[in-house]
Amino acid sequence: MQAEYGKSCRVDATTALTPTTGAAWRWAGILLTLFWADGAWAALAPAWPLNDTGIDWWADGSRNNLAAAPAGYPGQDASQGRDAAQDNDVDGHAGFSFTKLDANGMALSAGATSWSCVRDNVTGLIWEVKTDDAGLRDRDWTYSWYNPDATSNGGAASYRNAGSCGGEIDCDTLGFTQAVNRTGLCGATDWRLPNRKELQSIVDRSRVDPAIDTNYFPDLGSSRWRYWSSSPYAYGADSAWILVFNDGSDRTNDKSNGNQVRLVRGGQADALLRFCSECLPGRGGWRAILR
Amino acid sequence: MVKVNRRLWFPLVWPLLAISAGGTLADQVCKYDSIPATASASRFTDHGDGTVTDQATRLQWKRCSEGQDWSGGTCSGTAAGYTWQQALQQADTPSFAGKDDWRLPDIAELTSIVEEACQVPAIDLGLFPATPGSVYWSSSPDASYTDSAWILYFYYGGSGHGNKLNAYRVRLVRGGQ
Repeated sequence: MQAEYGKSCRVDATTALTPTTGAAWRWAGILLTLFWADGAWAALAPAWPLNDTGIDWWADGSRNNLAAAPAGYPGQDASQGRDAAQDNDVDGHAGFSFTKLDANGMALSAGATSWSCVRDNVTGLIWEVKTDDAGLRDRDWTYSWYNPDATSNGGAASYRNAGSCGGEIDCDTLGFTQAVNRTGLCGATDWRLPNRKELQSIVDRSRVDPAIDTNYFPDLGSSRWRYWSSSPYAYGADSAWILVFNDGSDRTNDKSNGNQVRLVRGGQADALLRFCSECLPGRGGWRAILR
Repeated sequence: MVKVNRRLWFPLVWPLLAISAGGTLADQVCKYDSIPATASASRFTDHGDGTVTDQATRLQWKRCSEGQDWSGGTCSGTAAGYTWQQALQQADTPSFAGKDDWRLPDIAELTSIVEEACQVPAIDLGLFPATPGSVYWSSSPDASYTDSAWILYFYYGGSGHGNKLNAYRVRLVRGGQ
């Protein structure tokens, strides 16, 4: 049993043993779901709502930004999803729905002129908003990719402190994450590096330079817009995935390079999946435990 | 060690390698011991009719690429190539598995089935048998270029800009919204 799902399941021991009320509830929730019937569990399976892409215009063979679907090019991105059903800019461009949060994590109005974090009301993720003050979380600091966990680093922990940053910390993804959690940004201490698909969820592909809603994320770097994900590259242990916010494309990059970091926390599946990614029934994972 | 600009030559070299191999694919490599699975079968429900549903995104996928046949519990034949316009028009093809609202996925939906622990292709072959390590179309036009739309390189899992007149593969989806 352990070997069956152990390959893709790692227990974050540090988090598991943290003596907080939140951790106690997490364990209660885990144990409760362990004994849930397979059918019922499927109904309660953590949802991972996908954001729509932000594209609310159509294209044909040679033109973009068309106001209606052109003949001969059916079923485009703009015809489906939240960008079609909720195409307003009240709370973020087109189908996006964001809420600004203050330094304590409390919701602000859409017109607030100063905010510390952004909550994505579709995905449930909460995003760090960078500063422009040469402090710990300045938008222009860069970090090398460093992850000493052999079950998630793709085969190479890679480079400590090879970025260029302030705050008197190790300029790498781990050092920055730990430092921000010590400050309790937006009232939380469980910030982490986003994975590739999470980073992609805030890409607004209706625009470029940058491909993001700058009414909520006006904080991209002054000259470079390349952000690390936690996702390592299966083909090369020395590389990991970045999101390039010039156009929203993703590509692999040497872990020794200095790229920017935008931390994330939360998500509906976060509480369970941080303990065990892919630990959902279907191959008898949970049933194997109950036998 | 020579540092090559993988960003430029990698997408060019891989198709040439696949072609020179006479259409046969290099063996898939998966590193589940060092990379958590991102789209493995444990998250999907197999309907036994050539479709699977991702319980996290609620998207239902055809297990075979367009041009392949679902038979004997697997996909046979060659995944066909389509221009972007033809790919969009595949949504008008006959019903499959009792559903007639299949469509081309947008780039976010297509990325949701990328298995980041695997290469060549970067997909779970148990869910999607006989998937070639090729380029697939999305329904998302490209804000950078009026002649391009977003594509997904399934040999390594990255997204990119594809000229709308190029011939790429198609996998259809429904639901999720």
